[in-house]
Formats: sequence, structure tokens, C-alpha cells
Amino acid sequence: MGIGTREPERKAPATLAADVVARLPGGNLVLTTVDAVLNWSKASSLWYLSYGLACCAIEMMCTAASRYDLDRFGLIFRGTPRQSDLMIVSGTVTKKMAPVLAQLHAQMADPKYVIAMGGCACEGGPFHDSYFTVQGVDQIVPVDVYIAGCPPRPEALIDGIFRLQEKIKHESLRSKVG
Amino acid sequence: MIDLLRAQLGDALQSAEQVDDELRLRLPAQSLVAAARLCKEHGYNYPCDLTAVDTRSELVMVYRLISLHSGQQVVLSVPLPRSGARVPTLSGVYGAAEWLEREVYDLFGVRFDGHPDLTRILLTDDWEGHPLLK
Amino acid sequence: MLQSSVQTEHVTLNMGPQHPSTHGVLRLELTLEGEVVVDCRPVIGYLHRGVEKIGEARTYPQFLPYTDRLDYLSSASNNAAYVLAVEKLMELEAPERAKYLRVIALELNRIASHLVFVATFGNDLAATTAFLYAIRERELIMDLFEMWVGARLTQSTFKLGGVSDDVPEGFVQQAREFCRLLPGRIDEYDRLLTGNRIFEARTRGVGILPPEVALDYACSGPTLRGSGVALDLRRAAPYEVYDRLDFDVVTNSRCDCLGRYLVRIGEMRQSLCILQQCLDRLPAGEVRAKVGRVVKPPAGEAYGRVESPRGEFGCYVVSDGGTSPLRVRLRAPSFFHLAALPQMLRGWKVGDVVAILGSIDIVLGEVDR
Repeated sequence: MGIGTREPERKAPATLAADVVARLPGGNLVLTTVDAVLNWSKASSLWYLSYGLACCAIEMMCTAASRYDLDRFGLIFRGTPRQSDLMIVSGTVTKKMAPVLAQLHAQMADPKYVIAMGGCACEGGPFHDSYFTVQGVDQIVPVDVYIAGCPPRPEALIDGIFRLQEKIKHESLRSKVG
Repeated sequence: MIDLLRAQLGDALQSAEQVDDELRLRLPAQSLVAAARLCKEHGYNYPCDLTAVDTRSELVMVYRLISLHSGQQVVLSVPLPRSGARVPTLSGVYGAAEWLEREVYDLFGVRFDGHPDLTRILLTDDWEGHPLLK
Repeated sequence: MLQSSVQTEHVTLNMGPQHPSTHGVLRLELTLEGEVVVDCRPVIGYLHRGVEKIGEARTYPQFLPYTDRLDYLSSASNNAAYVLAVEKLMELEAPERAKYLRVIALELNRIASHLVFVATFGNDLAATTAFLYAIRERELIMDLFEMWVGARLTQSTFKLGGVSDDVPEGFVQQAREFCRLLPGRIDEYDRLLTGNRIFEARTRGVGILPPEVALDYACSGPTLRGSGVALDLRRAAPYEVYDRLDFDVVTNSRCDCLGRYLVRIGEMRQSLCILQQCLDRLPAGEVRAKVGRVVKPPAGEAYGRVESPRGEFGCYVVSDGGTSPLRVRLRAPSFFHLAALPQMLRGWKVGDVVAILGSIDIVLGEVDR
């Protein structure tokens, strides 16, 4: 089906913490770091606010549905930003929608991440010279992962989510303080 | 239909031609409502479309009315000046005209006399200018 | 008696533009008296991308992919309207094989769009199972398009003068397999939804759209046919090879949400019928007429209208003889249906708003353009 490439060298979320987990000999205790556990939990259950704007929203919907299933990666669609960690901006952001997007992002609680899905969210896409579109959602909110495509395939969206999980794995409490 | 319109509008009717299933007529703004009502009375009850075209020399309002019974189309063109364009509203004749005229006002700046709610519909309320003008 | 001494006031409730059930970026300003909707003011434009203006800055062939992105659930219909209009101006006709392939693309898109309708309508009414089942079938259609043109959603199968590519080997067989598989699945949705008590309670008699109101607002497609008016452009103003194909126009005189839903279910079955006929009759030949590198239709105007899954999608092209259109006007059926929405919502409760909005099946991409 579609693009059959070799599996990238990427670990599934369940083993993200594995490389800093050490079993103490003989017992049932494990030794790890706070960062590893926190990052593992953050990456494994990213609840996303599907900010479905245009065509990419349909591909996001398909990725979340039967064949590609985002739930197996821990991603569940939430209708309100108050319960979301991740905002997948899928589609063109217009000047009328921009304040709404900013408000929704502000309503999300930390830690929050943004994926710009599709050409329009990345840098304006085919509507780059329109009088009413925002050329890229990063002009309004900070973006963690950009996924190119018009619209990107479901596999591309899943790949983007893996990259985000990789990024989260490398976060540290230390970098947030001070 | 063309004869009925000719009888009603007389000299006001600037031109008329039949192209396939379209009866294309050019008439001034003041004859618009009467012509539309006449068409509606004679079966053209489907207000297919209402838009404007900026031909660089003038603005033309284009109204497309269809008779579901015969499948024929009547296309009314109303030439207007590019700035300060005013035309009577058709929202009293066809329900669809209300939103369509708001869109034309929003994108072209044409004012519709008698419109119940002539506000921007697609662009933000504080937008300046009318983008679809050349 | 008690009511006269109770003071009430209207409450304005904002629904959208970010909302799981508004089918896109639509904002509804609902004026409520208790739970009953007294008035509704749809606010659109949140997805206005300026496509009509972009059309004036692109050449005729360059504009074609933009049409895909309007009604993104059924890209081929948008292509078809634009291509019909431009081919009328150019007096160009596509070869026979191309016409049949175009109808195959259009009907596959119709089924795909109606499957999304079943999925989202069911999902809106909390039947999430319908969502998962219908999308599963839609993936099969995406596979077919991926095999043919390489894209799943914004396919751009149409090109001026024909289609972009010929179908590869195995396509016809896979499409036939799909046609064999789908009727059983549609029966499954019927068993899931149509007889379901909750579904019926939420859609039977809800959101009445009288045919006179529907015509006054130029409603079309299943929204109009669900009110008993048998207007289908594939019959009334045939294009491509629809005049040679045998199918029924599905109508339902209920005028309510259930009626509109039943029309779409019926249309899926009819589309399968059309698809079978096209696959059987697919002639050999070219898939694209000879079109010069530079496309310059003579000055004039043309209106191309097609029956999209939502209704009459029209494209009014005005040419001044140059390489770019002078004006491209896109007539979107959902725009008209949204204009008629307040009429359908008055008197119903907030919970019914979602059902009624879902039943008219709008796509904001074409409303806002």
C-alpha cells in the first residue's frame, strides 16, 4: 500500500524510557530519571485538538479512523483546547481565523505542542499569494513539527507525530527552569 | 420569454441574444427588479447565481435565473460604473439574493439599495477595500 | 399560568468556529429562548482563501488544482465544472474514453463524499461506529485513486481536454471488486443507523425544509431532493456521458433530516450502478485531446454546471482572450444551503442544530472559497 520504505530507526513510545531505565539486580525496582518518565508519559498520550481547517483535516480524520488509527499511539481527539496537549493545525489559516487560533493556543495548558500539517499551515501552500491567508501558522504560534504535503498522506502525519515524540523525549525539566 | 421581456422593458433592454440554452440580456439597473419579477412569474424560480465581473472598464452584475421546468437559463447583465455602483436589491424577489448580494458588496463594493443587512460576509468586518476589483 | 410570571430573555450562544460538529470552520450565532433556537446567524469566511482572485493570477491549466481544494470531499466535481466551462469556451471535446473515465472519477468521488456524510452524520449523532465503518470503505476508494493518479484526496483527475492519466492495469478489476463489496456494506450502515431508535428520534421530522423555501434559496442536490424536488443535473442538463447511462434520481418527500440521509444512501447505490456501467462500457482510445501548450480561450463567457454530491456546483468563467481568466466565479451549493439554514433551525432545540447542520452536508472550502 502506497509508500513501502524501510522502517526508520525509531523506537516506539513504550521503549523511549528504556535506555535510562536500569533494573536493580535481584528485585523489582527500576532506576530511572524524572525526565525520562515524564517525557515518556507526555509522548505516549498526546491528546490532540484537531484544528481541522480545510482539506488536511479530512486526511487527519482518516488517520484517526479505521485504517490508520491514531488511538494506538495514544492520540485521542478532544473537542476542547482545555483537554488537549497537541494542536494539529491542518489546513489554511486565514486572517479571519488567526485570532481564533491564537486564542485556542492560549487556552491550551502547558506542556503544549503544535504540528503544522500540510503546505498551507507550513508556509501558505498554494495560497501563498492570497490577500487573506496567513503564510504559515508559525507566524501566530510556535510550531514543533512541520509536515509537508498537500495534503500529507496519513503515513506522513504519523511520521510527524513520531518525530514529535522523539522531540519530547529529548526535553528536560532543567531546560524549562530559569 | 424574450418577447415578454421586450414588451415589459421596451427601450430599456439594451441587448438580447440566445446562446445555447442561455438567454443573455443587458439592461439598466432600474429595470432589474421588474425583469426579475417577470421571469419569476414565468417559471424562472431558481436563482442559480448572482455575481459581478470587473471588466476593467465597467462592473457588470450578472444574474442567472433558471426555469426548472424548461431547463432554460436567463442571464441578466447590469452594467455599472466601477466606483459608486448602486443597484436595487433582489432579496425581495429571491431568498438566495440576500447572501449573494452581501458577497458582491464585500468583494466588489457594489451597494444594494433596500438590502436588509448589507454587511461583509466573507472578509473581516474591519477590512478596508474590495479585493476582487482589479 | 406560571410562564406569564416568569421573565425570560434571549441568550446568544456561539457555536464555532472551532467545534467538532460544525464540519469545518463555521460559526453559528444562535439566539436561544431556553433551549429553543429562535434565530441563527451563520458567520462564514473563516476559510476564505481568495481563490477567485487567485484564478485571475493563474493560467487556465494552473488554476485546475485549486478547484480540487474547494469541495475537498469530492474534488472531481469541482474539476468537472471548471473544465466544462473552459472547454465550452475553447469548443474542445474530450475523447470517449476520457469521458467515461471522468464519470468513473465523479461517481467514485460521490460515493466517497456520501461515505464521509454517513461517517460524520453518524458521529455527530454519537454513532461513532458509523464513522469507523464508513471511513474503512472510503479508504478503498482512496486506494483506487492512489493507483490511478497518485493522490488520495485532491486528485486533479481532470485536465483540459481529458483526464490526467489512463487507468493502470488492475484498476478496472479492483474497481469491480469494490462495486461487488460495497452494497453489503451499505446494508450494514442501514442496519446500524436507519432503523435505530435513537437515530430516528433525532432525525425523523427534524429540520423541515419545505420545497418552496428550498427553491427560493436555490438549494440543490440531496438537500433539495430530500424535499421531494426531483432535480438532478445528471438528468436535467447531462454532461460527459450521463445521457447514455441508466440510473434513477433518488428523492424523498419527507423534507426532514431522515429524508436527506435516505437520499444519500440511495444515491450511493445508484452511483455503484453507474460505476458498473462505465466499467463495462469503457472504450479504448486516447485519454486526452490535443491541447496546445498555451491555453488561450477566445473572449466570451461560459457556465459549467455539474451535480456534485452537495448539489449544483457551477463555474462561471469569463475570458478576455488572454492566458488567465478575467473572472472565475465558483457557485458553491453549500453557500446556498447555509443561507437557508436559519429557516431550518427556527423552533428546534440546540441538540437538533447538530443534526440539521449535519444533514445538509456542507463543506466550508466551497462556501468560503
